[in-house]
Amino acid sequence: MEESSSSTPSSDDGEYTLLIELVHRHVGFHDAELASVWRMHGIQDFTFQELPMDTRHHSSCSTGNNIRPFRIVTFPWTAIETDYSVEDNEISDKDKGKTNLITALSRCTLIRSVIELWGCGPVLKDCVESVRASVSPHRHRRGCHLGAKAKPYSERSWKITIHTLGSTYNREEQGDMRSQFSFLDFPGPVQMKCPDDEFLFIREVELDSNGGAVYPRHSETKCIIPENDARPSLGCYFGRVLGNNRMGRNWRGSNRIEQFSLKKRKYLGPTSMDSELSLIMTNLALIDKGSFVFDPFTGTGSILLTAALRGAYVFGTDIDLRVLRGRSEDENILANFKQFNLPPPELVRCDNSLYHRHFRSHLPLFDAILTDPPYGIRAGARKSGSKRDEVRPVLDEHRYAHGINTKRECWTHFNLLGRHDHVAQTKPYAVSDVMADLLNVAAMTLKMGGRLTYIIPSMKDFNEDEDLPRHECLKLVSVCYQPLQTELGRRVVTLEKTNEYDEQKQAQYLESTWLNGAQSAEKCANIRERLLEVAKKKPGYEEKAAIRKQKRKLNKETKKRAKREQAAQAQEMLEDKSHHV
Amino acid sequence: MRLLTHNVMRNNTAAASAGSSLRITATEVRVDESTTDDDAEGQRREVEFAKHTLPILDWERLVEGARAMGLETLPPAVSPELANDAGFLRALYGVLMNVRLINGMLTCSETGREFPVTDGIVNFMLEENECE
Repeated sequence: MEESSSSTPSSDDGEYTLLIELVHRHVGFHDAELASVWRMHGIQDFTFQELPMDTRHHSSCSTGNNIRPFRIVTFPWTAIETDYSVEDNEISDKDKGKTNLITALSRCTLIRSVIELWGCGPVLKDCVESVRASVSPHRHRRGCHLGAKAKPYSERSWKITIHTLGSTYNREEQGDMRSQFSFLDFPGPVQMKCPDDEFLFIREVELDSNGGAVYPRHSETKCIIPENDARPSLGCYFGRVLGNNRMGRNWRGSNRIEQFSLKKRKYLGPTSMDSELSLIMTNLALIDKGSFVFDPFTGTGSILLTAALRGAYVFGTDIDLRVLRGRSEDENILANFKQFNLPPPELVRCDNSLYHRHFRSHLPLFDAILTDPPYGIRAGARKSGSKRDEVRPVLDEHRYAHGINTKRECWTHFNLLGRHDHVAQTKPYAVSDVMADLLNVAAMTLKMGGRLTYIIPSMKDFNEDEDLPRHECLKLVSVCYQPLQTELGRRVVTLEKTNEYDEQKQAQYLESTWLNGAQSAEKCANIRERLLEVAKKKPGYEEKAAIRKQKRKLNKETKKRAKREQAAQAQEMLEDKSHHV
Repeated sequence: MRLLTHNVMRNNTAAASAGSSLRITATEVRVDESTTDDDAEGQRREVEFAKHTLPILDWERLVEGARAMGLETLPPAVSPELANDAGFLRALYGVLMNVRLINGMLTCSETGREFPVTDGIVNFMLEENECE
């Protein structure tokens, strides 16, 4: 290859380009999470580029950029020399004072891989041409951005991986693709396992919402579908994988998500949050090591645990003492924290509807509030107070004695202390008030610039612009939508505190929470009932419901029978033994 | 319950004013060992945390609370020099975050209302006749 012809720019200027490959999950969260991660690390001198696409073969409406799991980002090359590092080894001496882009981006839960993009185009041929014209091979030869510890160019082992987004190509076909890049003529040895440089060729095709190919290359019987096979690719990319030594090509490999998996936790409840979503939420809320994080609806503490895994100090409250205390010594929130070697969280039992009186004065205390409020899908909200209009006084002998908190404990102390068995009553807590109180507490207790990230479920009729609760002190940062069923989805909403809280205006704040009044709140309340209503309207509901009922009955009977048989067997064995004795 | 919680929370019945405080009666106190003795980065974060928290603390309340938990070493006031002293700030982090009341009672200074602490969890729930 020629050293540098007049058509190639000098390798000292121009741009440095990254291709970010995202997982085809939580598609609505891709950009918001990425934006938070940039912000968290103060990375700003980059620009997003259009993805390659040939409009003759693909229309932009069917392949909207937001659902393509790729982003192309360019930095000025001078910034890579002065502010950012892309060295694979975490923080070397040279790195100090520079932001390592690999370390920064590895926080992004939804990133699958990041490559230093050498060239791209709609089809393979364009991609090859683009790599030919690129300065990247020259830069790579000099290797000054690879770090002082990196091997010299001539000794670097390498391989080229072909990634076709789930379509299958056989060995020869892959070899043909690879050979298109033979002009690069790397001098080092080829090495399949852990090479110094892994190059990646990606052939992108149109994906549907589940991440499967819209025009699959093979039929279910594994025969090639000729008309689909003839379709040109959507985009082709070639480049060097970043973070290869640290995380492998697939950054989501077993070490990142799985270690936080819910399945491995000791204590879980019916509303424990999916760990991937809570990891994304910690990014949206800019939670870092040393952040102080609050969850006013702690429940089984799954969100707090994820925040603590990110290195935050965590504080949680809940109205339900039973979930805070857990089922037993080894099955409670503390056990989950101990399991991951984290310091114990701070837990308080109190009532959200009275938050304005729980804190001494309006303290900027928390860096972030992260929560999944109760909307009455699996657990309805409650607040203090009696269901009766006229409240009966609690008799003194019913009050708990010192240190006794639950009915069970009371019973064990029954004979010693009299009837200290009063359980404070709770009553339903309307979703409109839950949200108004949540936003108000956030405005009150967040530091300036601190974020509130919460989950809100909704049916199709929910209008993002009008129906979301609002607060004068909080600015909307992002709304991410996750479809769950055809009728139902949930949003993760992130707000940032931008104005100081004014105690005098509390009533006004609470009143102006809902633009359209409480009817907006109704749209996200009692979703279980509303889902049932929708389901009932569908044809054939009655028959299906009857079948399900029948199945449940059968299941129950089988279980009962099995239990009876087991008991009978155990009895027999016992009798056998006693005979022998 | 940690001393930071004690410092920022109060009796939430309507009868108590925003200035009310909670008196600690400690039955069981646990002091967690520091996990950052060999971790310079972790220590720096603790110092940062204490530095950011110091301005919102009610110092008198903290000294009183610490005394009730058996810690007599806090200075009566924080001078500007102390507020920037890394050694002091890290010790302050320890007082706020590593000392926990496991069992005991909090008593409101104004109304005498008692809030029990069991297994480290304060119970601020009100009885229905205290709710308006």
